[in-house]
Amino acid sequence: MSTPIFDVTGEIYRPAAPYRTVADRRREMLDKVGLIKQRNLATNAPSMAFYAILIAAGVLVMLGLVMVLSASSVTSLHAGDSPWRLFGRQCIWAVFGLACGVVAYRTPYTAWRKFVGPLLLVSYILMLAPFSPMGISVNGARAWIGFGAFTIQPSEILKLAVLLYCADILQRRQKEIHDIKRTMIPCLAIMGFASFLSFIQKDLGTAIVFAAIMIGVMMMAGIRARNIAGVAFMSGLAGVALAMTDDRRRMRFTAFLNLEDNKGHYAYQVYQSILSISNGGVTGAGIGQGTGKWGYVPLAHSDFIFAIIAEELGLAGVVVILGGFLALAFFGFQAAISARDHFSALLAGGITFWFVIQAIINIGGVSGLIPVTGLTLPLISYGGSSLLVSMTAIGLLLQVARNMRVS
Amino acid sequence: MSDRNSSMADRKARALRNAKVPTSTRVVPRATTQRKRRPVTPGRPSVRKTTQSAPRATKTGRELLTQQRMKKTFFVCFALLFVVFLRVGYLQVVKADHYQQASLDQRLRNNTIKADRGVIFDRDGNELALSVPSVTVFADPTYVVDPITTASTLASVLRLTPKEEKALAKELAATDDNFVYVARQLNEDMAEAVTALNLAGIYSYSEPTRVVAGEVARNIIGRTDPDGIGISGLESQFDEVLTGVDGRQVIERDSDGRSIPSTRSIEREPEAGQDLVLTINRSMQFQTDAALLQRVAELKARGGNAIVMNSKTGEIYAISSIRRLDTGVYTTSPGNLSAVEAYEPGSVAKVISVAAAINENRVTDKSVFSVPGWQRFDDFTIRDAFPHDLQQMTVREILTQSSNLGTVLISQEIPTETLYSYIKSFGFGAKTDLNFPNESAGLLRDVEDWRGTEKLTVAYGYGFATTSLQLVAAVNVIANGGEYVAPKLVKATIDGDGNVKDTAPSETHRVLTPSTSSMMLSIMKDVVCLGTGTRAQVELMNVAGKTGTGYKVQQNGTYNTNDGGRKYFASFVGFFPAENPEVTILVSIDEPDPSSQDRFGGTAAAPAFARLAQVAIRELQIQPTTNHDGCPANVEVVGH
Repeated sequence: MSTPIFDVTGEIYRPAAPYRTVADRRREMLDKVGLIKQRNLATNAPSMAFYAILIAAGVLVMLGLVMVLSASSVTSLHAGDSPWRLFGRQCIWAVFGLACGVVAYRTPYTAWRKFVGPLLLVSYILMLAPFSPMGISVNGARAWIGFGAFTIQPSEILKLAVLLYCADILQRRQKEIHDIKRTMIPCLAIMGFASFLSFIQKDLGTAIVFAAIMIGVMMMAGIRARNIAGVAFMSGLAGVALAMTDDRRRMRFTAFLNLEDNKGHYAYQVYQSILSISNGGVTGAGIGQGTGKWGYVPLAHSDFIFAIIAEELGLAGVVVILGGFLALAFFGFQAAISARDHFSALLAGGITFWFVIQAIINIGGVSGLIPVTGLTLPLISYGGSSLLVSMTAIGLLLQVARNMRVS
Repeated sequence: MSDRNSSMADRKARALRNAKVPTSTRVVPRATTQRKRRPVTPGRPSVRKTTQSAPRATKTGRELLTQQRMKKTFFVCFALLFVVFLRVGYLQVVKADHYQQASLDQRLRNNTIKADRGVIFDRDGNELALSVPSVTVFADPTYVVDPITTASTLASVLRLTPKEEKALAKELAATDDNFVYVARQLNEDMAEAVTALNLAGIYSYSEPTRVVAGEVARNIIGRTDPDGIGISGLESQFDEVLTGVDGRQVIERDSDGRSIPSTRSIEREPEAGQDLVLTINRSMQFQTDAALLQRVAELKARGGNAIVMNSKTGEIYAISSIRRLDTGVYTTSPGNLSAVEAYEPGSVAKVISVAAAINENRVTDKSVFSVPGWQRFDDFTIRDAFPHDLQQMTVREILTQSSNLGTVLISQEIPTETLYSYIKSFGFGAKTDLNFPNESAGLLRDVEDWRGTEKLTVAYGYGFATTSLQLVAAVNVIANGGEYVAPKLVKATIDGDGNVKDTAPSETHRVLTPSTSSMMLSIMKDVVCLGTGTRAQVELMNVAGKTGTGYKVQQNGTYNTNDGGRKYFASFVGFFPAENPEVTILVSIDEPDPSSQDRFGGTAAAPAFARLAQVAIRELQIQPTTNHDGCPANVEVVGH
């Protein structure tokens, strides 16, 4: 600094100040006011998994909003409302979801762990609320409770609560993992009760997802494979037995085996959604140009939104959606594998598995691969509780990804 | 990994220092706080302690197991996603055509766009018949959600009676049908009100309604059925010309059958039909209708026909038929009776037999015949309408006074076969070139089949039947200098691009020599000046013509009704100006009041002729001849 350096214009050359990111400045600010030690801050750069999950989830949510607009506008219009009505609601839920996601991301999961018990209890109680006068039936499933204009599906909250609780006890009892009375039985009890509640709500899809999440988490926790296989077999058997008790479900299952011959009635939904998917072809009909949503595909904006996406965006859109879930799976499990501790590993693995398995069951059902069970497509389908809880879960997943061990 | 044990100050400092350096440094909740907030529960203390210990740099067996299982889980997820992808790809690529067709089948609906039917113009380009836009509303009951509500909603808009509403509801409930008319050919305001309801299963299409402006010339224009297909008159005759080629429109509909916005695509544009230009003069047609109606009503007749025709070209300016309805009201007939109905022409046909004899050089207008008041032929007596003794009459007088016996005598100068060939040549026994739907050819038996008195009566117009159209064309031969010119109704066609294509001129053939023709013309002028047709005279215009009073054959096969009365068919055919005829007019009155003096051609039809002649003179601006000599000093002859 002895001789000033001049640039071509004759000004004194001032070397740029060291580049400081927003995160740097925030950190400085927190330090200044003395709050930094209360914050759970990672100082390393976010991993690739963090960004990948963020982008994948962001793309799915935003694409979902667009497609909800496209698919729900007809429903809204035919109900005599503004075509924007359902989309507007979904946007509000997305904003809430974003807020919850940020809170979930910012709140250390150690703090979550303190509330897993109460959260589970509250969720169970909420699960019973649909049977109260507040309950609302949609498509035969009494799985919603209404608060004025908004409705909530408690089973969505229960999914996260069950996952948190089981991850907590499985981590705490990691050492005695093979003691099935201490690990598997409690988990099964929790799962069984959740599944049972969903089932009596006539929401078979959610019951299956509970079972799947639970089996996945127990599997990842390291419970003996043969035990898990037994559990899976038994739950499968129970599921089939329960499904067969209901005439409508049985007919639907039979119809599923022969879609073409039952396209008029029991397989109507799936047949229409298959038509819609096929209609998209490779390039798609164009956003808004789909025909399935014009009353042909039932629940086009919620459970069957994949059919509309496939029709309007074609195979390209399908690749984006499936690619998004694949990215979520890949980086979610990567985050889980490199997680800082066993609890967050199980949590991340559980969330990832939940999303991917629910997406597979949904898309498989919509495309006629498996019987339809009535599930939303996570992050995409219309449905406030589903979106809100999914985005909260993504917040937790991002927290785990942010704090990954760097190998 | 040792920073877990270092002091807070150290960590803070290092965090700030290494802000951009990726390390695994992180503030992790400590076991101490955890322990403080979660009191140890009896029964599981040891577990908590061990699990809350710091992560190790080396992985434990259990952690490795977890990681392995997570990897496996991922591959399971990957495999399932791939299967789903294959399934969707299979649907979108391999089975695309199959399902796309099924998808199209269920949502496409072909709609026909009706081509505009050609307009029918009069000779001056005034519209006679045209299609006006209207909308037809129909229902597909299989898509109607609530038949009763739908019907009552429609009823309130369409102002249906409760009975009609009930019937509609019943039709809408019949789901075995998928097409039911709700209302045909509504005007556009009404149709908009219906379509704005956007009822499920209720659709509309535009369908033009055919309108004949003021009902003028309805008798020749005819009708179309509600589908726009000509079923009578020129609409039927020129249906192929007038009908265009329908277009096709494809709409996509939603599951409730409502059309999906912005999916209408036109597959084929409709091609409008060609326009017809008639020879009709709309104004003359209107006035002819009115004048004839008035005359027929005055005479309490059953009906009447009138034809106004261009003498040179055969173009028909006006052609009118009046009928008395069963209610006693007189109205223009919806049918072209002039072409459809045939009667025995009576005395008008004397023109033909006399002209034939003159043309064969057997007689001239001055040849004299001894005509008795009556004469018996075998068992049949022919008598003149006016009683007289044996009288020397020239040919001119015979025709002027319309003597039946005189005409028979003249006709006997030529062979029956020759008379027959003249009758044929004048256009009888065959349809005219109009070829109007249901046109009658009249009735003319072959000459070999003429029996007994028929050979005689044919000379004065009995024993064969003609339409008014045939009759006017026959008499017009005299007006046109001895040349037959076929009547004509269609002047031109105009195609979609506005190209006017004139129709071919009427067929002509020579029947009489010009000298015969002019001799006949002069005799027929006398008919109007001196003879039976004086009431056909027109101021400042020389008129030539011939009256005719026929007895109509009755049900019993005689010319008498069962109570001994007669039914008349009074007619007058004439043309003017006599020097150079431009217009030929026929008026026939069917069954004028038999008790009235005005039951004869000269009294019933001739005054109407004079009226129509004035209309034609005014409308066609025919100049009176400058050397108008009028009629010579009146020598009124009573006759008919």
